[in-house]
Amino acid sequence: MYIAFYLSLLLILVPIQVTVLNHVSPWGVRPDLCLVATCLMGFLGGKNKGMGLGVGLGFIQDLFSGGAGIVNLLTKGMIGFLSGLVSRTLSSTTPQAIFLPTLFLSSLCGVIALFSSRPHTDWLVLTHEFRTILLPQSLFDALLTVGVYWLLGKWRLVTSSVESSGFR
Amino acid sequence: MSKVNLTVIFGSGVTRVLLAVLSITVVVILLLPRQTQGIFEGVSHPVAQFMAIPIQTLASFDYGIRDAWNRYLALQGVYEQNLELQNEVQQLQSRVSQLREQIIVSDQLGHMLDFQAVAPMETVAARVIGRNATNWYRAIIIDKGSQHGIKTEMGVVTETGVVGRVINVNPSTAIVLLLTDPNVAMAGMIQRSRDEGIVQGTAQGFVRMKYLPPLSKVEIGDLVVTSGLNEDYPRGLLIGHVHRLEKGDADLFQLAEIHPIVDFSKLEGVLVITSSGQLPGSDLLPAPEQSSKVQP
Repeated sequence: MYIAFYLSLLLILVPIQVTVLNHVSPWGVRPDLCLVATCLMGFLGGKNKGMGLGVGLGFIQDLFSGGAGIVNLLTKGMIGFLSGLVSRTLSSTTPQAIFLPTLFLSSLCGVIALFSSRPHTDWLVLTHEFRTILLPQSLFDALLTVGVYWLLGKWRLVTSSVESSGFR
Repeated sequence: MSKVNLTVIFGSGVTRVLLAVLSITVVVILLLPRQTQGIFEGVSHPVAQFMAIPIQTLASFDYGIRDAWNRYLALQGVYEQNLELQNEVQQLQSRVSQLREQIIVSDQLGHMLDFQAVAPMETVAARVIGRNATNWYRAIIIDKGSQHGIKTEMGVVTETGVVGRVINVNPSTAIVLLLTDPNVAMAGMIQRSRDEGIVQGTAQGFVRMKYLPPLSKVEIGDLVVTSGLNEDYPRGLLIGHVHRLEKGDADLFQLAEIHPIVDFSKLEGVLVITSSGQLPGSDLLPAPEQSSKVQP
């Protein structure tokens, strides 16, 4: 079951990111669906699952990205691992509680991507990129992660109440 | 001070093995990039080819929805007429630029030339099926790859002007870095004054021309074309027009901000230049006096 879910995420997320998501880019910045999925997998499934999904999604993202190398593979793998670690240290993983860790993880991922994509650039440009891409994207990612986490919680609540009422 | 429990961080068993394998792989890739490139491509190319299927399917779906919206919901007649006129204007603009270039070269040589030979190039038409997978590069994904003869560093154009350069090739798709990306640079020339410089994208998303001679008589509105010094672009392809000039008293060179002729947000189809020709010796000829400017 997990493998099928994992493969379907690999198959769907990057195509959506490169095609349909272009229409959902306020101020020209799109949320990173792969990062959101990796964080959620880390928060809900733990370090190993988070890292596994992050490496897979990062690898595919690298194939359809302008940059050469394995930056996304590395950062997404790391994010999956760290989000799994964060979920263990939080006393309760609520939507509100995961906002700041996701914001931090997305920013960390963004900083690495920024320095790898603009290796020979000045601070003025880096500041501009930080303000126009990194910060909005991190906010989008964090909000989306919180939103999906909240929806998953609601869905779980509904399914568990349906099960306990004897309908299934 | 409390001790950090490493088992909490790195776990045990599976986690440690996974981390070790990943770390070793990364270190090997970073230390031996050339040696591992073949293995990496061996793995990545089939995956990329497979992943191209859902991307192309979604892109077709996306185009279909957009087409339906544009054609049937948003004032069908007006939209089509507008599109037709826009196309015509773009084609005429491009044609005018080409003709200006041809006139300049013709005057320089002093006799009639076969102007088709000025920029003889073979191209492969491709459809834009997506944008870059992250926000960090301004790039597009096209539906042609190494199977269709596309290679890295090939120039990409439309009938209007220069689009960018191929940066990454998979069997059935390729990634094209747009002219507005800071990682793209090419040799350009002010068409009227014949001053050459380097055209490069910026982080802010516009294009600038660097290293223009300090005594250059470049003006706002001047057209910028490819100079032909890059092997991937023939001479005379339209890049854009100058819309701002910058030169401090202590600066060695002038800097021109260029408004690209291609609207990158509406790119749907492109031409990849698979082989481009140059007019022998045309770079050595004296400067002409033809005016090639657009009203800013």
